[in-house]
Amino acid sequence: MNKINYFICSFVVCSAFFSTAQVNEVKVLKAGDPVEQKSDSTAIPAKAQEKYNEGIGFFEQKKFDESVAAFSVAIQLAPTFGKAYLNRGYAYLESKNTKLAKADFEFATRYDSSLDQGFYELGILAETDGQAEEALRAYDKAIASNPSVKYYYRRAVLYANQGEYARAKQDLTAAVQLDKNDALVLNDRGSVNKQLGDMENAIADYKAAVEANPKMTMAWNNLGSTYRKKGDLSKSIEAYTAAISSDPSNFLSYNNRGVAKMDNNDWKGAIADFRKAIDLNPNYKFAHNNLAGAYLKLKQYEDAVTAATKAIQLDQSYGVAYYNRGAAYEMLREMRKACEDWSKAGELGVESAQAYFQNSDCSNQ
Amino acid sequence: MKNIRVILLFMLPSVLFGQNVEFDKSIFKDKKTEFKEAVNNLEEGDAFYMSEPFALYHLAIPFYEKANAFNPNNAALNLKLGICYLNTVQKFKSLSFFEMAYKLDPKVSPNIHYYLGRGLQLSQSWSKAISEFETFIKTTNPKEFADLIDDATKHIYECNSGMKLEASPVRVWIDNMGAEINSDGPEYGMIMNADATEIYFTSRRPNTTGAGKDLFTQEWYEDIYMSKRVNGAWSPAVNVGDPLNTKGHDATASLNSDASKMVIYLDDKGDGNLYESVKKNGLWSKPKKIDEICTEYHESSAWYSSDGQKIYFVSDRPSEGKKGPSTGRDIYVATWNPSKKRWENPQRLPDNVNTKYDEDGVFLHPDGKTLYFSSKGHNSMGGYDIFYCKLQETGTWTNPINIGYPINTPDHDIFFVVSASGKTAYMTSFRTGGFGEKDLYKITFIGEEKQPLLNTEDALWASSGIPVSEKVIEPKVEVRKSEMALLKGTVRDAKSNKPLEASIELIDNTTNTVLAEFTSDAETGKFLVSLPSGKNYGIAVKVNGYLFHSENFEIPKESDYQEITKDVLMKKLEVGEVIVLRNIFFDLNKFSLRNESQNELDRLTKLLQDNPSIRIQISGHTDSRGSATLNKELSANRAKAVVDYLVSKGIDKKRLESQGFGKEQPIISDDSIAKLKTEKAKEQAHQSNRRTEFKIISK
Repeated sequence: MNKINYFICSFVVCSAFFSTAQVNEVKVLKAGDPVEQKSDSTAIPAKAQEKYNEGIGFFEQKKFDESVAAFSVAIQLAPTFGKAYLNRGYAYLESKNTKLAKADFEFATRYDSSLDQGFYELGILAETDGQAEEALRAYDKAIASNPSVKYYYRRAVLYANQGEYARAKQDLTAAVQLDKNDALVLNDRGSVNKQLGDMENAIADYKAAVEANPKMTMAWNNLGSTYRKKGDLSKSIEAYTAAISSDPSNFLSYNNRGVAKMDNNDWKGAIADFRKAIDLNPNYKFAHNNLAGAYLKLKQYEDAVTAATKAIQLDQSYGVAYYNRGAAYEMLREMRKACEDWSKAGELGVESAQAYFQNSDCSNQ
Repeated sequence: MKNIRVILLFMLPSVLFGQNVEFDKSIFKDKKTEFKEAVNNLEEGDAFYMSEPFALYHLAIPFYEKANAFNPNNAALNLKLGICYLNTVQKFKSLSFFEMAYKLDPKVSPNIHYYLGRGLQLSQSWSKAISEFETFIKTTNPKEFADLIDDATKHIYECNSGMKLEASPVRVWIDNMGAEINSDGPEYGMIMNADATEIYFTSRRPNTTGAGKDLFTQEWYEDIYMSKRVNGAWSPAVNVGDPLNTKGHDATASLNSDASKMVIYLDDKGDGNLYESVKKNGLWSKPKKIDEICTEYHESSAWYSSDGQKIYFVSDRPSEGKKGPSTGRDIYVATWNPSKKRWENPQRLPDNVNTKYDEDGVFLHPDGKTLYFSSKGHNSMGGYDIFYCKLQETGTWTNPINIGYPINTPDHDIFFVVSASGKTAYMTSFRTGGFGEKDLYKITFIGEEKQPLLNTEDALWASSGIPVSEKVIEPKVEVRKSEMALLKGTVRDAKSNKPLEASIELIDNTTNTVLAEFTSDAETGKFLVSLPSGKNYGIAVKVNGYLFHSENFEIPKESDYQEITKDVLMKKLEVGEVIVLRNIFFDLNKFSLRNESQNELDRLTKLLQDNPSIRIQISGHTDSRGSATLNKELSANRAKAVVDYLVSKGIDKKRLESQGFGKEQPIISDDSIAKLKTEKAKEQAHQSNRRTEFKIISK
């Protein structure tokens, strides 16, 4: 078998918090089929093919400069050799030379419009440059050439980042039709549905995601948050608990479950969760702030002040924490401090704090 | 009540069973001396209990308590003690005595279930109280106790109201006003000026004028006391002395916005009348009976409207001017006739405000719209409760709303006054932890419970895994609108800085009507004017021998409460003096005078008529925006329009000059405006620069 290789690079997106929610996509250098190559060889001189294969060998040995040199010779010998451009583009990428990589992907797709990988890489590079429209055009072409889960997913993510959730949903649905058990795609479609306010379908997608991958902490957490938003607090707490079981170091889900417990008027249970979140990440300002909120409900105003103060120490521009501390100070009859905090929270955009400042006798403090 | 007491005494011999222990010497053979003393106490107490024309329960209590200490197991005595306490400020003490009386002898009185209901209501045991009242109604002879059954039925209604009100309490701080104000005697009937810096109240203290005691009640005569708030603290209350206080009872009723007029309640041998005193040069005048609103019936509480054009008062006269017995206390309003300088046309407020029960303790907020009062009717939870209603543009009153628990209690809650900002209020109350008897309390409204704001975040996207914060959903908080502003300050001579007694006219610029006239205090030059929202006000300050001073205030309908301080420096009529005519208005980019300018122009006309030798220059000024040429032309035309008006009113043209300065002479420079923080402040500065002035060029 003649080895005509394709680079299929990999990208690994690691969640900072969800170890099980990794997107593993492998891009490897693939050997070509000799028959296929033969058919290609009608237009490609043998010497060019030889240099091309040499380039692949260097690439596999991580000798990227040599790889580039070999592909360049192949291109000199066969200036319309699309796959050589594509693979040289990958070699340039490995050498962090994105400008030349981009040029090669453009040549590759110009000379061989069936090279969907080239379009895809152009889309990724355009996104990196903040050129969303250009990226979308590239993904469109990649999908037109080869409608794969990967391409639909990538375009959907871009749509979602632009707030175009309806379009993102279309792409994710197309991806699901290609693979019904891709937990990552199902999770993201759940999130798109949630952003669209379609809680029922969001829940269905998150449930399908955890069915496909019961260890997917992210989807369990998102399922919990969707149930909470829907007001189904027991199911919400159940889902957060599953997220925590899946990843006991997952402080986000502890914090979120604490909020669900707050909604369920279980102030003490909420406090336990917020404290656990803080144990796992002492610098997690949200948990400190929420802890202050729980103490407010329990009328433990001094504790609320302490917790909110910690949140403020972690982020001096955390308006909500000023708001909560102001509420605690008010109940401690320290109106001057309450007014100061509401004033600060108001400056930081917390509108209700502004209203409380105006409604209270702050001008006489 | 008298019937009840008679029945009670009639029944005493029958109370001979159960655990009841009679005051019978045969039972206390071993304690003859103590028994004799206890019986004496019992008789002394009975003398007060049965006294005429009315029982003196508070005087009976010490004797009954002593007798009860000797024999705590006498049902009749426990019942009497309960009834005594029920008729004092310490009503809450009555329940334990009623319960003891019932325990000792369930038939101690045919009305025992009524009393138990009363005691339970006062302790806010609403369901139990209702049960007792219902038992009373079921088991009592309806012919014999028809009135009491009616009363029990009303108490059931009150208990149901109380249950609902207690379930949704208003969030307030209730703070005793402290030792500078309160004493071990009773304090009540607090009145205050609009910005709550000066208060007056009634108290019974040993230093009462004449050091006399009421012969019946054996309490000190009521006197009026005063305190001022300085740097947030109340000064020690002082007896205001003569002429407000006399050797008899003198009680507060009302104070106007700037504390220059006070209404006093005098008992007048049971007639109950309202008197007015005016403060001049820091001294109160001898109170004069307000004949127009006083009748042979009882008039008590009163309150001036902030513009001084209305007086709300309470009278128990028969409605619609009929003669006959009193029909209970209701709220009336009379209107000031400025030409006749008297109150006229007293009208009873409609039935949605007044009830068949008593109303009292009336207070009209400085916003001129919100009436606070106490009523035993409506949905009171017992005794007088405080209610408020609002005067609508149609002239009708909204249905009164109970101000809520814990401000209102099952006992009497009365004399409620609210600061202009609406954020604080003051009331009279008897509460545990006070200084003894009734005290004055400050109420701070803290609004709905502030819900904590919480943060969550989710990693929505598998591709990034980056947590996304969920938007914090804030509670919808409405800013309380006071719908008014307070204008306060001083009037002084521009050169000597000496305080001046000035006449201050408050004008509705839209209708060109003078809404009210006030006077600044001659001693301090201070003035305080309430400006209810929804109007464009012109203020004209006038002092003989001085040029008038004018101000303009737009108080939008939905505006927040604001306090505006304006110190006015009056200029004498001298060559070179310049006055800004703040209430002369033109349409945008036009020079035809708007109707709202009428009052200001008439004042200017009168000034020129009164001083026929002066010559003046009218000058027009614009702000710095726009073309200099156009601005100059516009300002010249505007100045000329004023001159033309004066000429049309007969002022000799030779006495008048006009000139347009455009943007050449700003009061506030562009540099200063640029430094202002808010757009609103910048706009106000530009507005100050857009003006019409007059200058005296010769005398």
